[in-house]
Amino acid sequence: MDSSNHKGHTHPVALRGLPSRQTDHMPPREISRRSMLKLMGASAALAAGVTGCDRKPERKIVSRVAPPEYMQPGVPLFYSSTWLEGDVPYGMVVRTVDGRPVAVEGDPGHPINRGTASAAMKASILSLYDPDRLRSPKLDGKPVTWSQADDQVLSRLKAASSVVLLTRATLGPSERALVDAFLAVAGGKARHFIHDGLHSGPRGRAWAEVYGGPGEVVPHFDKAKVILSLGSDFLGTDGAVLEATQGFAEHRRPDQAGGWMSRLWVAEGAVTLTGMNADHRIRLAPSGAAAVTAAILAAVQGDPAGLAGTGLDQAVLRALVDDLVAHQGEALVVAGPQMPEAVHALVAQLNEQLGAPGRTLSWNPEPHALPASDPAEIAAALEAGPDLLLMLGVNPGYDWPGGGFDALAGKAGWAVGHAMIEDETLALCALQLPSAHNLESWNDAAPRPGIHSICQPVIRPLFGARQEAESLLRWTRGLAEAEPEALLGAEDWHGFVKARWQGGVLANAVGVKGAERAWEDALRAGGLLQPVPIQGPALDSAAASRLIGSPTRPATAGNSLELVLLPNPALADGRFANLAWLHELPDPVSRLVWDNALAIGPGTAQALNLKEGDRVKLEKAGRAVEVPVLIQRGTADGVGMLYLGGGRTAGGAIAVGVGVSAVPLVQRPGADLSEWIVTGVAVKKLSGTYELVRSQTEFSMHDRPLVLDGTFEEFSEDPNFVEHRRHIPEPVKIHREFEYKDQAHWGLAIDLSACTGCGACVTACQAENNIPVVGKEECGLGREMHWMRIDLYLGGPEDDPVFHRQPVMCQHCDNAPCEMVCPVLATSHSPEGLNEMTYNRCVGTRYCANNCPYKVRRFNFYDYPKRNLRGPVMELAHNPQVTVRSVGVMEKCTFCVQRINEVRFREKKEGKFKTQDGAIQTACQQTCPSKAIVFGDMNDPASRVAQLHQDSRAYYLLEELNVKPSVAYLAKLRNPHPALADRAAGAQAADHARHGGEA
Amino acid sequence: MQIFTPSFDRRVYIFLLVILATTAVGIPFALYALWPGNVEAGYAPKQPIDYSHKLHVGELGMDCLYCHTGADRNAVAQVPSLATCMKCHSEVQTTDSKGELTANMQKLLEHWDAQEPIRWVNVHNLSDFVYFDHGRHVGYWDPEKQRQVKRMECQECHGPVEEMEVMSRHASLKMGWCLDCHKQEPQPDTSPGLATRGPLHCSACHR
Repeated sequence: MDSSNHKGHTHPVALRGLPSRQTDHMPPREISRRSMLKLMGASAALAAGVTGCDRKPERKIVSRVAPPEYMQPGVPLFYSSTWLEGDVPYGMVVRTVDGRPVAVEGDPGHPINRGTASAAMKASILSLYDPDRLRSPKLDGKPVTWSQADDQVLSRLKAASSVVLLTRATLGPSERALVDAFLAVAGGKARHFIHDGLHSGPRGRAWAEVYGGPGEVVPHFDKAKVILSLGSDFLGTDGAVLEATQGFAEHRRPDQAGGWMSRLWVAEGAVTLTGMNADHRIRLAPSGAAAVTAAILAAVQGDPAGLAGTGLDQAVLRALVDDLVAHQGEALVVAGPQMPEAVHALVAQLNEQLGAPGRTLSWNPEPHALPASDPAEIAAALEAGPDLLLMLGVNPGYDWPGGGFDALAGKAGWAVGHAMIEDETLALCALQLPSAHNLESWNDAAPRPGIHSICQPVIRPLFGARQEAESLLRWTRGLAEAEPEALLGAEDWHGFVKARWQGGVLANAVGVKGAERAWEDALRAGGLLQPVPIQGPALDSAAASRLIGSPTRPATAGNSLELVLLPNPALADGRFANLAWLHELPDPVSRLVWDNALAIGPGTAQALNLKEGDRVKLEKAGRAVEVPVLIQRGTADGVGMLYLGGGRTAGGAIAVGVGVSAVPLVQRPGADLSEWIVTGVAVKKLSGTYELVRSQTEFSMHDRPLVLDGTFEEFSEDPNFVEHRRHIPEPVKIHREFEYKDQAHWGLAIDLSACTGCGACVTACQAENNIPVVGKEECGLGREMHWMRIDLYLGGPEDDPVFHRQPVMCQHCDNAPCEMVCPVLATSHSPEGLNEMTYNRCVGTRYCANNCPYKVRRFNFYDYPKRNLRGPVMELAHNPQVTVRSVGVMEKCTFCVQRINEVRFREKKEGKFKTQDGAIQTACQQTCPSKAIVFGDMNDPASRVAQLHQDSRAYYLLEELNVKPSVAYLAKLRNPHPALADRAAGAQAADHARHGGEA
Repeated sequence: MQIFTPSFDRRVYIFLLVILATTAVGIPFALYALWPGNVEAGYAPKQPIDYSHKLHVGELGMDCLYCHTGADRNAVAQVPSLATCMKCHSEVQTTDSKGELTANMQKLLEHWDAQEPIRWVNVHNLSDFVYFDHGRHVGYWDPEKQRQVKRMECQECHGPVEEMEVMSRHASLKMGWCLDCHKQEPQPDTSPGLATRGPLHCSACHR
């Protein structure tokens, strides 16, 4: 990196993917300009005169002065690194072209995410090129240089008698060492606090109590045959989601892994992605969780008497207890981080009773997130009026529990904020410092025992930004009288991280290979990644009993709700709020876009006399928020759910004003059931309505066989059960038949049993294919541009729905209805079965979209790339391998034809004329956290995709239309408890009854 | 009283003539100016340095791939970096009759001293929605011979570069021109690389 010359790296290929006049829609023409002139009979003199105002697009080629030898124009380079923006570090591989990062992909060698990625991870490339990033250090609103800023900080640090350092919880080992070094140098005058809106909380506190120290319990969903989740959204927002999803999905397709299928029981108040994937979902208000868990624990221990007092369906609870007991050593119980301490203590005991530790649970003595400081302590430290307040990478200005951080920050003599964008916190600071992005930073992480990841920069910091750690290192050195030994003599932060690795984790390798070589090998591999499972410390039963106390359920008053505040599946605690991709990604549960709303069940809505779109005021202890109402089937009675992360008041052009902030209702520890479970919230209906936009408005399948599903039992008895439900058409030969002799025939297979519906594929597709965002209003008009979507259907009873999910993209039909109606042959059939879309040929009649039965074609109603452009730097986030479309052009899924071409061109150049199965991955497939999508050549009988198309669960969407799609769906399997199987059948019958008349 | 005087008639004729003339001049002018133009064959823009392919390729016999590295392997044929020029020109520095460096030589050295890249004008300029791959056309790795084999000569598209004093566009590089070759039946050739015809489907180049 360092040796590369960044001067003039622009090469024609770098212009690819950038909107320019050349990419504008331009139909092919027969008459050249020259012959046109002749036709018009223009004289030579005229032609000569006209040449003067020639509009020939003159483009420049600017090659490097002295390129590094490994870098060739247009040839991508890949770097291993670590994604550190989320709760859990994931391994990533960054694709760079001509020195510019163009894509973030999961690192297949990383043991936690194993090649998969989340939506936020894919959107990382967008935040790198965010034009709202702070452009230079600012002192009292005026730009200053870094050395001026450092001088200011240092002079004040030296003069200060009390300093408060506020950081986020997710600090890597090197960052922790640096903070320690800073505190040592500062002597007693500096205090370090950790502010974090999502980590720790009641779960961390309970674990610390019952296991006698910091640490975290790591669940292994791939090993559990029976899983009980008490409000834990482990597939959506809780913990290492990518690891959990992959582990969980592994045993949801018994025909492909081990022959057994796990059973997921979920007891939750609000509907989460995990609840949607449950085999049995129990609607349970979080305030009742402790009592129910206690009853289950007692029943597992042999005393089922308590079950009757829970008020829940006895048959379900008994089946659950039987299931847990029958799977001793193979069962796993998890509880959501927002659940009160008592529940976590009970869960610890329940896991102990079920023999989970060491089997389905392991222990991590040093979690990636440090325990957060008690806000009361931080407040006290600030109330005391420190001379200097340093805030590195935190945003308490937005997410301080209950709000009102500005008053506290005002108590400090002088405040420094270090962040990428001028956010709510930086607005309170005299000195504002621009932070470098994840892709511009050196760092490390040790998320699990034995896993040491390195984060390396792939581009120099844009806009003169600097890493927070680099700043702290300079301040530490500047403050010290003598060179601090703790800094290992490192010149800068990069040197510090490197020296720490060479002297620590890599010590053995350094002895064998030498320091430089050991470091480079580790960099290439993304770190040292050899997980070591650790069995946890013994459970302190006395501490657990103390925490449990006697679980009682708080009384509820009329017109009040029990409010659950959950992290937004896409925006987390709001840190990703300036990323438009994540706002436009429909919520996996409600399909809501660009908003935040109070989700309540239909029963609660009726009781409170509320409709969807009504505005309400939620009030607790004098603090209130005003939100629109969203009716979400499946929400427990008396429970409301609001996402965190909305309603930013600063932090970028996209972030501001989207949704409502739930922060005013976040509680201090101990004030209510937990920080994020607020009881007795008064609901007051306000006048007026608010328009919520969901990407989908119809949630019924109307009895059509769109998502086929069956139970594991049914499947075991008759593996061909899907066959009986399919509508296989009589072959009608009115179409030209395509044959794929000696050629590839590309196809996709999607396992609905593995798909959790998280939506990472949608954002992956958006990133890969330069898909624009359209905003709330256009989404409301049904003009979203996503090439793939996740359809959601709700069956079963009104209040207890069964969820069906189905990712839908262009099905690349053999008898494609779109191809037949295009008047200009802009959409055509490739010899390899792709349904091609040629933008430069399209004139925008939209006939194809009208004729598509799957509704997967998207039309550019506006010149979105220009409309969305907030500065030229944004253009760099485009994938240079894909054309940027302009107004009036139709577009749709191409099966990532650029990836097909890239691999096949490369292989052909290498003299290989048969593509290996698995060499080509579509963006959705590569990203899919549950590995539900498989792409390949259907003409190769040995390929995975060909085999999946022959699978007994395979069927095609709307196959009765005889369009011959190339996408096979594998029917979803559910695994209800045998004692409750009749209920599942009953639910299906209820579904039929509801829609019987409409079919 | 005569309403339409002879002079009125004359004025009408002049008026019509002016309109006609304006149209005759204006429409082609407007079309020429507004028509989104591809560059035609024969396009030979003035370059910042009068680099002569005729001298370097024709007379000195340099291989195309010496400067345009990767054209036989990668999608993009590299335009040489300044460092590539300086490999020779740090030693070979042409002088005029008075023994002074030529203007072009001076320019090159100025750029090198300032480490400032030269902004060449793109002659073979394809639209952004076309994804042309040089490597697929120029060469491939022959597994039997175990070496990189040339498939096409550069001159087949770029013309007699070795005779060009000023680089000019030999072919139109329009789609019809591409397809002229792609439509030809495959050459009888034993190597698997040439056994099939060039693709004719859209997504081979447009995506």
